[in-house]
Amino acid sequence: MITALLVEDEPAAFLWLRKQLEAYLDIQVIGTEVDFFGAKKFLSERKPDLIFIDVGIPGGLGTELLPFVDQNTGIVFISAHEKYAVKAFERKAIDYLLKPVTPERLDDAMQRVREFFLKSNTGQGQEISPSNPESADAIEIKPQGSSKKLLIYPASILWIEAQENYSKIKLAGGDPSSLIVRRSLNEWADVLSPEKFYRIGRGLIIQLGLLRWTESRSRDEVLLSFAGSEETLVIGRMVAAKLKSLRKQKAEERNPD
Amino acid sequence: MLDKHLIFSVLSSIVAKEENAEAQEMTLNLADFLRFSFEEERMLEPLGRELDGIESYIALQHSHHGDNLLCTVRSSEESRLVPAVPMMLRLLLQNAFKYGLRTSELPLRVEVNAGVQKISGLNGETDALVVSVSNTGRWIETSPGKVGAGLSVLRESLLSLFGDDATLESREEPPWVHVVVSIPVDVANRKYETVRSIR
Repeated sequence: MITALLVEDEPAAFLWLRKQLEAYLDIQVIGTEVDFFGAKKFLSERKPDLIFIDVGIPGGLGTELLPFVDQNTGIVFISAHEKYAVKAFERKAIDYLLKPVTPERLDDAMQRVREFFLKSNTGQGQEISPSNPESADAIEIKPQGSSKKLLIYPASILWIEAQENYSKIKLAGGDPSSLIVRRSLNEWADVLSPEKFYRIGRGLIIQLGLLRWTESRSRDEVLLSFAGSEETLVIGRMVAAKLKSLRKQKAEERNPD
Repeated sequence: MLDKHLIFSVLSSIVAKEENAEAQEMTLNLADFLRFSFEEERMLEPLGRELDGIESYIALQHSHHGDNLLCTVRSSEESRLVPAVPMMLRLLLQNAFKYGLRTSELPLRVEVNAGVQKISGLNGETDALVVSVSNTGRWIETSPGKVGAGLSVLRESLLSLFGDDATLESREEPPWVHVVVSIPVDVANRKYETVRSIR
């Protein structure tokens, strides 16, 4: 369970956030403060795992609370200000959300929150999968409905969709072009290189570098096509929003301001 | 001076208080659209940024015109990286919606296509970013042989940024009207590097 403090002075925004967070069963809101001094006092007495801080609170800037926040506490800033206002603090924060916050964007932030705690719990989370030497090598799988084991290369995996305890792997070219195996997405995430494969949404991993075209017909119907396959992958609004923020992150890495 | 902070805070409160999901979504799209429009304008911007930026604009048009509008945006990953004129797509779309809705049978169809293609230029074949915005309306001549004010502004900025290498053309191919912008990729990349090094 992740304990959380909300620091937000606008009642409507505060109620909205608290209501949204109810849907995340692993988050427990243990405190709510409406100004700088209240938050400072709370932090001197208790140590939440996570803090949502609105930057524009009475009594001081939300960012000025940083010195009072424990090192291991995760921070998510919320602000109606332009992004650069928060930019300086970005490194220390798990995420920053611009008001008004969309449910898709909040969900994306919560995903980052979970990754943050996953990493800090395992200590050297960074060491687990990146530069995993095995990720370039073939992976042995046993497809459903087949008695034989099979080797597949990560380089040829376009996307993997979760199907309960199973997953459906879509491969470039090849025959068969898709396989179903008894392996969860979490297990896949452990063996595939996180620099190439991205989990966008709970039920989908894609190899970003093989994505070629995007066709957006409406917010709820976005088609992705990949190198080496005629078949398209249809994604909905939530997943499209995650893809968007992933691309944004990549673009910022390429062209830092 | 606009108090942007107040605008976004108020929009945020409206979303939080609003029970109607459609109204919530319209408000979120409006906020996104405003944020994108308020952004400090840069001289050049990778097209991907604008492709993301026009999403909320299209969604707002959709909620305004409902079933009278069908809009598809198709883009290659490659095209997203090519530096282009900021607000270029917005301007082309704005024209397509404005004139299209006046002249097209309903529903109006608008299609955006962005890709990198081989084109033949003075120095043989080169890769070019080709962006087309098509609609099922008819071409309206403002005065014979001239393009509208919006398009001529765009043509001028293409000319001043990329010289003759970039083109803007329009053509009718019933039921479609196409406006096509083409920018050589190497010219765009060079220009982008220059602009960034000055900054």
